[in-house]
Amino acid sequence: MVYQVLATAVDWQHQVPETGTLTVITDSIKADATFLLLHTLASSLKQTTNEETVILVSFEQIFVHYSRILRKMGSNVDALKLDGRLAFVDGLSELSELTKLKKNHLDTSTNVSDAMKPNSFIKGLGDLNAADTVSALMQAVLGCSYKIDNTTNNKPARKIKGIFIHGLSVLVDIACGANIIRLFINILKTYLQENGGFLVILTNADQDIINESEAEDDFVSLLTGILYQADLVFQVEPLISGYSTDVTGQISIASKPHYKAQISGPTVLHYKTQDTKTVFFAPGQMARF
Amino acid sequence: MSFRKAGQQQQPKLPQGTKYNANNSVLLVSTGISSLDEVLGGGVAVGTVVLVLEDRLTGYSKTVQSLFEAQSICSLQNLVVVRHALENKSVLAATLPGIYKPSSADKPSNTKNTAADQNMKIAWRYNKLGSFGDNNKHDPKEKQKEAIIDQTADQKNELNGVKREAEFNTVFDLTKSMDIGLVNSSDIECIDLQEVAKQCKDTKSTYASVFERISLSIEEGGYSSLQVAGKREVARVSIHNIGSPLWDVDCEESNGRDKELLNFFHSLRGLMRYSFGVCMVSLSPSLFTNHLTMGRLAILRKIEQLCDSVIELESFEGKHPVNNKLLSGILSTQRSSQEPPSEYHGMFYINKRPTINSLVPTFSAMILSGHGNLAFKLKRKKFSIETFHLPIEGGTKDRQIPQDSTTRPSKDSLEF
Repeated sequence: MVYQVLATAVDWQHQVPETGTLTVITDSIKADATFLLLHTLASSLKQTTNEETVILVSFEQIFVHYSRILRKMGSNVDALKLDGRLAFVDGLSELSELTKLKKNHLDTSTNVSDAMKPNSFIKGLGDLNAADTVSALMQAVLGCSYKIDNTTNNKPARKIKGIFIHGLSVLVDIACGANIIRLFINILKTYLQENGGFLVILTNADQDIINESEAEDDFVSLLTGILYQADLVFQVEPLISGYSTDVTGQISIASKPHYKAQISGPTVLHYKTQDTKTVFFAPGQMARF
Repeated sequence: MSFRKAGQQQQPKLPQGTKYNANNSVLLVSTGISSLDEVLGGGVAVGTVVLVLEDRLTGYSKTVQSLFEAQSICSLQNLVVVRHALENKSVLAATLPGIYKPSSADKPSNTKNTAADQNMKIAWRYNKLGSFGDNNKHDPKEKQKEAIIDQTADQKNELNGVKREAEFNTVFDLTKSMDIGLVNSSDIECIDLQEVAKQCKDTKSTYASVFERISLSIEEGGYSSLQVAGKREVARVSIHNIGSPLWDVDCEESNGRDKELLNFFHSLRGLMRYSFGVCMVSLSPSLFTNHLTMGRLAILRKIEQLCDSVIELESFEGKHPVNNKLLSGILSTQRSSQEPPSEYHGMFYINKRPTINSLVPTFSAMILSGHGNLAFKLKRKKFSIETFHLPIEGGTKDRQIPQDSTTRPSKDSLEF
């Protein structure tokens, strides 16, 4: 399995992140890291039992996008979503203040099938104060695990196996300050450490934005904040040595000292994205799979 | 006996003027420029936002956008245009290019003539001359007559209610402008930016009001996929020069403008995803440039992140000079006029390739062959994007030995 090369490089025992850890993936406009998030998600979904659920929160795309890609990668997420093993939180359609001006809203729509409809929404964040914003975010994300079986008691119906957040930096652009989002991530991480489960965040860390922003800027502040909390960091970049048809880009791996005593394998991996899979390999090796 | 696919008849009917890409399960519409479609992977996917970064001091990007708008008329799709000083459809019609009609000289001649041509084997070079009697066609008066006949035939068709057929991609002629009758009969909504700004002066920002107008137009027009019974046709939204001072007259702080802009782009993406619509937004990067470092502001990168595909035009005339003085930019245009004319008019960049429902962008032979080096050229009638290459050494003109008086033998030397 091609994904195994990556899992071995970061010493993931079951090819998914360790419980209680925060994995941060950074990308830029020149090198999109969606493939890495989705490979980890697909691997997690394979191991999810009937008592567990995986939550995908997206600020970038709608569910159909992920469904089509994951189907090509060999996992039928529509069925898994109906089954309750996957929950999707929509942070795109109803997030900003402007979306209130729309006539049709996703939550009241009857034309979207149950398989394609998100389990919950993050909406109207712009006009809330700090405490309400964090509470709205927590409710939307963790609310999925409560809702699935319509249980009324406080305990979640399913154990959370992992939470994946796609495009966290959008939050800072649109709605709220960096300190609020840092607080939200901190609470989420603590919750997962206590109850089991891992957190994977994909965020934009474009070097051009960082260069042009001041140190106090919310974007930079959020990035430094979550990198500080992260146990493992994947930095996805375009190939530094230049354009190549055989290599799409490179992943630099960095980990905190407390994460693992030693990470076997290289700290830089090259990758080649294909339609149905991504091939990871050490620099210098050819992608012959 | 013929071979036919088993499920061919069960396929649902596609909306007018669209093409289906089975690889990514997306509907595509044309930009009006076949080479741009090719670069973007067959066309623009329905439900996405395309950002066009305008060229500096020249207006090539306006041509790109006008072709996108003109294509919606030929594809029989709804069009929403947001621009300043756009009172009515006739103002818009003046900016749109006309449909290309092959002239009578280009039309294939009668079958009798072609048969005669085939039989003529006296000398191949006479083939180009055509048969006797064709000479009249070169007469300008005759040409004019034919043009009038063509035009009246078209008008008759329209009056008789002959239904126009939706085309995926039309060839346009930039020397002509779009027929006003055609524009008036099309489903077009013009949103005048100044009017919107006046109406919402105290209540909300221009961005919010424009978003409201666009969403109203899409949702009430029945293009939203959240509605139960919507007509399955495609709407195009074309927004001109977003972020320019005309958009934020009241906003004095740049922070306020930045937040409004990002909110607008995020909401627009959310709106488009659940509607049968495509959006093309143009933006001038020179307005988002740090004049001290000549670097682009962080906001521009964030906007690019919020769009699905980003294309950039950089004309040779308006290219930024190396030194960072404001005025030297204008001086550089004067300098460039002395340089020999290039085959191309500028460079074409794809800052972000669309990846909808897929991990990799759609295969484009043009990008692979040119390793991403693309250039655009604007001919008299046509706009096209090609793989950039350097001119052939020595030029494409015929080489001639320079006439030099010293080498030529003079009359005197021959005389004894």
